[in-house]
Amino acid sequence: MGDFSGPDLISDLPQSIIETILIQLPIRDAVRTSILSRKWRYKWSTITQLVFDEKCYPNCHDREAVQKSVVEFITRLLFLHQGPIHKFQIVNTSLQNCSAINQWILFLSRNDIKDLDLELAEGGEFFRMPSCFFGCEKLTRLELSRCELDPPASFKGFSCLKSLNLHQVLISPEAIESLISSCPLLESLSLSYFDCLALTVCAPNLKYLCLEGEFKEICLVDTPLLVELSVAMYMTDDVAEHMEQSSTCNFVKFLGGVPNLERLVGLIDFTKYLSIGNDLGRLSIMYNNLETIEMYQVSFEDMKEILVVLRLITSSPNLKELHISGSSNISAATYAAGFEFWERECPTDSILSQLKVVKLTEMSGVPHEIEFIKFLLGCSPALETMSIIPSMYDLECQLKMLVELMKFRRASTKAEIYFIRGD
Amino acid sequence: MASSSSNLISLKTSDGTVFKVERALAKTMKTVQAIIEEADANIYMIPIHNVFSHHMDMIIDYYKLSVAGKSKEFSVEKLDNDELKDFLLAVHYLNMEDLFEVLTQAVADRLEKKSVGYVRKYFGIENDFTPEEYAAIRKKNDWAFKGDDIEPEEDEEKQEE
Repeated sequence: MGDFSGPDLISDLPQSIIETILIQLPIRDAVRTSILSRKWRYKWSTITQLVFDEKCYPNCHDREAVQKSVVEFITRLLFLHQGPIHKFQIVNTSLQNCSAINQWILFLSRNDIKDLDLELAEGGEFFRMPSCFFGCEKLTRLELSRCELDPPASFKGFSCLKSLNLHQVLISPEAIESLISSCPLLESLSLSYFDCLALTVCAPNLKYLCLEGEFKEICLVDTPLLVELSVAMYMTDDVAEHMEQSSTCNFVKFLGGVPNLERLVGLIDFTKYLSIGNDLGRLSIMYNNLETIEMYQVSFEDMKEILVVLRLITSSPNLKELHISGSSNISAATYAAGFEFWERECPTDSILSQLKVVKLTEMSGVPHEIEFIKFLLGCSPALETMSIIPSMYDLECQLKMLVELMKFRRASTKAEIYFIRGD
Repeated sequence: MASSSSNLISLKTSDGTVFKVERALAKTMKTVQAIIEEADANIYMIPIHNVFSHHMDMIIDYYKLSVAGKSKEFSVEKLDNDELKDFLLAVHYLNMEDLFEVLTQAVADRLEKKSVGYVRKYFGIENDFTPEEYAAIRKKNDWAFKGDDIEPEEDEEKQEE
């Protein structure tokens, strides 16, 4: 009969503990507990978090069979599930678009879904979210990948949504702007793989913003609480040209309303984007909480881009960590003009009193990079480490750069400079 | 707010041992924290039921590791299922979120990918299905049993006895 040894150690634990345990099992294992004993038959069916990941589908190369298996598994499971479902995630599976997903979304919309993460695999069609999706009133977190969103005219937004992450999602510019501004509690927004978007972000509670893609224009209107900003922006040549002709200052339009910023990361054409437009002189805004600045692909041959970086640095009195990556091409005979620029823009009394760590990568040794390093070393009395990673392999060039750096006055007696050559 | 004169809180376990712990550690125990906050005057000794001194030893170990950023080094491997269950109940009673998640994950890890027979034996669960019931449920939930990474069901032959 029974081949059990000793008392039952687990079946009488409170349901809340059992549920916590079941949620931490891969979902297939959780369902399989249904045949342990009578008590266990339905314990799995009330768990409120359902995560379908790479662990839940067979290890087999036949894509169609895998798709069929995953779809059957999820459909059957939802059919037997009882009670609310707060979290539903499909990630790292090879799930492609199929009509069954419509039924799953309908089911979730009727069961109080709060956290929805639907990431379809590469290579298939995008899944168009059904209209019932827009009725998920309790949604607090949404992540979609390879889907299509077309909100109906009657849609008033998700009033509880705090986190929105759209990756490779088809949605019209008006719809995305409207979606952002109609979610009053939105704190975290991430948009990636967008094409040719002109975006105005209006989100009074937004704290974290991450943008990646080809943007024609980005405007931050009413984002006073923003704390972290990361922008990887591609600008096609014609967009750049068109922008040059406009006179509005992109820097102010973009960073003018974010006084509480703590961390700023800019990649690809971001510095270039900010440099466009009339220079309005010294900024009136100070970023008192900005402690980390990371700017990549900064061209040290474009004086306007250097000015953007300098303005940022000199408006951030509490800056602790600076990471700048260059993108200059060292031309054969570089004669750089404009050294008076440095005297003009960097008054000798500018002090970066909190700056501790500086990392400079992709340094090609162009004259203005050298001047920048000179500026940093001379103005940072609290500096602890500066790492410089040259982009060129030529020993002669590296040596030339080092010789220049050696001359510079250091405001900090503690500063250690690391010249890191890739070997 | 009444505060004790020192930064140590005294906790008395079920087996009568008194532990003097830092306020910060007591704060991670929501049950204890609630007792402190509700008290008007200074509390000298807080009794913690269902918690034994060997549980407190492990709780203190975990706390020290997590303060040093090494919470991943905490392991309950040496505990058998009975001990793990008791510890889990103690931590559940004290309402300590992080440690509770660590322990439920430990239980989940002991269950993962194991055959049904193994799980029953390991936790002492009695199979009270009739062979017909068992076969019916197994068939109905067949969709959940596909996958070649799961151990085969050793006890299925026994069902035919």
